[in-house]
Amino acid sequence: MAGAALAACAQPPPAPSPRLLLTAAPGAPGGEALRAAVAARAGVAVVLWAPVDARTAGLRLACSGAACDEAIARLRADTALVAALVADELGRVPPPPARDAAR
Amino acid sequence: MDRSFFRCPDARGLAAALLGLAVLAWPAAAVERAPARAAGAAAATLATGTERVVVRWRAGVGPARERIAQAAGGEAAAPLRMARTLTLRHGIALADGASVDARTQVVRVAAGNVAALLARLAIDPEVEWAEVDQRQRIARVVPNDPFYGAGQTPPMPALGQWFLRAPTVDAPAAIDAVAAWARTRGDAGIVVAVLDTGVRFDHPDLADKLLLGYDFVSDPATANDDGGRDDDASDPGDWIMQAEHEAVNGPFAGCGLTGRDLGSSWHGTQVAGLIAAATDNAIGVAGAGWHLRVLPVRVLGKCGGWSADIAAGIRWAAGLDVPDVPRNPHPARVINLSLGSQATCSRTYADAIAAVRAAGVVVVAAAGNQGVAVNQPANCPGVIAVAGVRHVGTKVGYSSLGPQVALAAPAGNCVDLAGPLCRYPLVTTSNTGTTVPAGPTYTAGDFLHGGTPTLGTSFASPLVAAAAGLMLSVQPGLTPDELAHRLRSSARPFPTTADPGVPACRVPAGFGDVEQLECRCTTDTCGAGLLDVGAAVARAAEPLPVGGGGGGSLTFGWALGLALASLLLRLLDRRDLAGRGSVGRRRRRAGR
Repeated sequence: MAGAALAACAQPPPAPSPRLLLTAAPGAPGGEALRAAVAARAGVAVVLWAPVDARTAGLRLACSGAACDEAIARLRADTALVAALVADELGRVPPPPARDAAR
Repeated sequence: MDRSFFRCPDARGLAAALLGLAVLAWPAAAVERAPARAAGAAAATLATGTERVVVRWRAGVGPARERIAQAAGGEAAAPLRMARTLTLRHGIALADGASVDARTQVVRVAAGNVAALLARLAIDPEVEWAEVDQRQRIARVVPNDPFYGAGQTPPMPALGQWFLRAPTVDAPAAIDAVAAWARTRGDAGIVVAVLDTGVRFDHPDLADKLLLGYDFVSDPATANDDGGRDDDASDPGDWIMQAEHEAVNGPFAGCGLTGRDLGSSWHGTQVAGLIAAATDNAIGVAGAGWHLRVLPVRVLGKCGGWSADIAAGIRWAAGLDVPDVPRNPHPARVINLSLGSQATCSRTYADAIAAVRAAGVVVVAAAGNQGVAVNQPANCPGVIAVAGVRHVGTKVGYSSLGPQVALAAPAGNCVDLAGPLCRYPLVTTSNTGTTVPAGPTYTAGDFLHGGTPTLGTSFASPLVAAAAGLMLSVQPGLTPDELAHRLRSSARPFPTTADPGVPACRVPAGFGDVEQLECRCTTDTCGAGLLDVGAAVARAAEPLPVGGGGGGSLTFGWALGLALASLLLRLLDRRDLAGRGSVGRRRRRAGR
């Protein structure tokens, strides 16, 4: 048993929910009602909700690994609610230049 | 009474007037190529006692079309030589002076004829405007900020804020902010939003120049400030420990450096200082935008930020609605984005940028530091993308490049890569903390003692954003497109005297192309030219066009006048011939 626990510790934690970007379908509810509808359709809680405008929001779901894949598939299938659901993109400050490129 | 006696002179007068007006509209380029006798005579009579008048031709008239075609063909544009045309057209002796640009030149006129010439040019349909050229004395707008001038001691770079000063033989890429400051030191009502890591409000060179802003980083781990979106745009630090970088499936996996910790960048504080550090306050550095104010919008934290938060920040900065966030009470006219990723422009960015441009907001972004294709969002439609150049005007090794670039500005370079000192970095506000904030400081030119000189297209972009703010200070009605046009058209041509051993820049094939190090800029790779803030502000101050495309309809109108006049004269000639015939017949009859 101790060995199994040690083996589990050696495993990396499961990948967290990807950060997603959702665009609501025309006619879908907005604001908190949209968030609630997304959670209900995904079957998991929405743990982060970051609106961009009236129809677009960034989000994270309370899931990991395969469970997230299934939740995302359910959302994409509901075209009356979701017009687009894509992985959000990470932007960064441009990486500091290497010194040998700064002549 | 013979009524025809009265009608004919009227008709002739009308025809003569139409012809005269039509001659005014005669394609200038055609006259430009006429024999030079008249102009030569005019020049001879103008040897002494002359004044200078600046003449701006409307877009689309003969000479401009010709010169633009020349430029498109890769030839250097020939100087304007329109004095002869104007002399013939207006009957006032003129001589050619210098060309200012493809549509603007100086003409010399006898002092006593200035008023008459200006009156004539005011109704010349091919002239957009004309004004007396005024002698300018050397503007003594030298801020008293101690790190502004040359002669600094280490760890500060010896040349201080070289990039703000007038260009020199040694540093032709300097942006000549001093010339702009002679005209405007910026309107404090013009707000430049800095979408970045947040700012240090406690920096004494920024404290009075910062609006409150907002924090759009929604992910608490990324935000690193125990919360999501809130009204605190201060920068808590964005350091990444080595262990965080190496933690598989952790929130910051792969975000840092292998083998050592990555310290906080204070990136937003650096960008803000370049735009609007308190200037002429006897402290630290000068900001290119002098009195402009910065709206800090925090969209980046540990390992960057998500496009949803960045797009929301773009909208909010411009005064547009973002659900669940109070409306911005200080909408920006300019947004600086020294951030991005190696991707084509996403719908999220494109929509946000289109929305704020429709609201009249100018968006400026850094090209990127990988020496390949231009990053997102700099590659988005409508964005003024900024590449980085060395002090001599060649592309700095790290700068990304390509046809999306609007223009280039100094991004910092070091010359001697082996030595401890970086000779031409930018200098700006920062913080001494390696993780959490500590004390205010300024970026140095010293690689020793853990120094990190300010280098990168992140820092070229705010120089352009500040220039845009100064342009709006003198001409608040500029639209984003008109501002971008004037910014590009006022850019200094890339130096042609660069080291011939340096290869010409080429358009990269994409993000996976080989990094191009230093190269000779072309308009396909580094934009229209080198940022010249003095020229940009002067161009911004020119009158706004009244209506769009008026030049074309005027030209058509005058062409129609020419056709009508010709037709009328032909008719009159026929009548005249017929009349002479009648007189002859009458005389013959009389002789009988």
